[in-house]
Amino acid sequence: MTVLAHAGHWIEGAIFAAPVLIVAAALGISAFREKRRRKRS
Amino acid sequence: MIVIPFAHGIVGKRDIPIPDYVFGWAAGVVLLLSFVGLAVLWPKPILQPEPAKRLCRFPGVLVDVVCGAIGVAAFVAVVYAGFAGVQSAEANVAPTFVYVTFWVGLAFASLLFGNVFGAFNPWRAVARAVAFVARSVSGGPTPEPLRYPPWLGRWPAAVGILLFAWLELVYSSRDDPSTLAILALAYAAVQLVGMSLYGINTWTDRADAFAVYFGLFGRIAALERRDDGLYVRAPLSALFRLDLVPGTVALLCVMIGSTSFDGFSNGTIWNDIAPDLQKFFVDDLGTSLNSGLELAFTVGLLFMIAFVAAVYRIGVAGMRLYDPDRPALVLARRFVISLVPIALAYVIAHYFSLLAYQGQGMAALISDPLGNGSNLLGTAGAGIDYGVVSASGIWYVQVAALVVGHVAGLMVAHERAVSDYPDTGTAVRSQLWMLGVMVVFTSLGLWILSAAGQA
Repeated sequence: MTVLAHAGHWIEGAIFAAPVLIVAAALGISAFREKRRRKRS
Repeated sequence: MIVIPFAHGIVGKRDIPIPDYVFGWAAGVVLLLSFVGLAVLWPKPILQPEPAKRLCRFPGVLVDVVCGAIGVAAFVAVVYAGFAGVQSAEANVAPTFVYVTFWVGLAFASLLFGNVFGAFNPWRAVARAVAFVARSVSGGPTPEPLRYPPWLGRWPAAVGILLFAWLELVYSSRDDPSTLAILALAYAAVQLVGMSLYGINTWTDRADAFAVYFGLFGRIAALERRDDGLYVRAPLSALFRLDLVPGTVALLCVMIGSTSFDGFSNGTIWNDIAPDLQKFFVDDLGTSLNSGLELAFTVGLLFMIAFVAAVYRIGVAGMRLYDPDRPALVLARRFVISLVPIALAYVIAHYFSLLAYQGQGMAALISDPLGNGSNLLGTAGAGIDYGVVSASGIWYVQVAALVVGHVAGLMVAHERAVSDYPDTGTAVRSQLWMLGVMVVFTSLGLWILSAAGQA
């Protein structure tokens, strides 16, 4: 409840996380491709 | 008597023309460009085998004796002031010396001059003096020390830094001069026992929390004192000489996590959460208000350390995609040296304002160390000039420290990768995950500092 009650502060801070989300997406794609490459070989 | 306010990281209102988060985004772009630059321009190891050039020659023993004597004198003076002085955090020299000059000032000095604490370490100086006397009296070598358990590694140092962080960030009597004096004596006693059992150098390199902490930062510096003089070397290169024993990863996670929590605990989110956590401990577990708050802060401190450890372990798990034959534990240890520049960057970013402002207070405090109105050096009336650096200036230093520290971390990880992996392509792909770790830590650091500055 505490976390939800102060969601405004979290959302404000989440703007900082944009680069993290982009890198996380890139790493996810990279990991998926690497696993697929290993399966094929 | 001038009363100097004792507070963590005093920062005024910033006047920055663009939102703080833009700095975070720009830092992410800088890291990405650095990663690409390293991939293209750094195909083979260049920091190893650590070229070094002697700048000047001097007898190392003389430096050890002189600096050790100064270290012991400072330790005795601070402990004496803690017991005999006015029991006030503002008027007594002990709290400012411990938390500003020692804890923060030595970290900055280690970056500039190498392992400074190694020379001034008071308990090491006492142990070496005792060993010298024992050898002289017995006329032969002293008994061989016990074998230091390999599994123990740097765990004692990790626990020591965690306890100090708890003292600094959680304990309600952290500023009490006599408490600090008692703890300083207890710490010194433990070190002396440890050195007598396991040998001075082994204990200092592994278990003396402060020696290990400042020693890690000293490995970033371009200067190094050896037995026969002062040497200059490539910055960061000494990190590759670090023996990667158990507890090293935990130590770095404690270092980064505790500094993060220091900033986080000054922000709005923690100030929203802490009272509810405190209420839980008071109402549901029946603790006192003070103990409830300490427990809440303990939870916060441990959570932040666990978060840092989790981010690093995810990065290591990602690297294993490209190196599945090596266990995660081995990879975590091989690449942990990349966290050392980040830990120092966090210290600089979080404590620069403390050093810039509170550090000035030492001029008055060393002239009146007990807080009893004396004026030994004629500087007891010196105050703090808060105009020495503006709030905006501090923010720019913080951003620069975090960006440079994380780029340095990327360089170290890249150097390790190109020396560990058979081809540059695998090395670069594996480091995509370390880039992710660096981006997370940079964004986290800037977000925490931004929130603390607005609270």
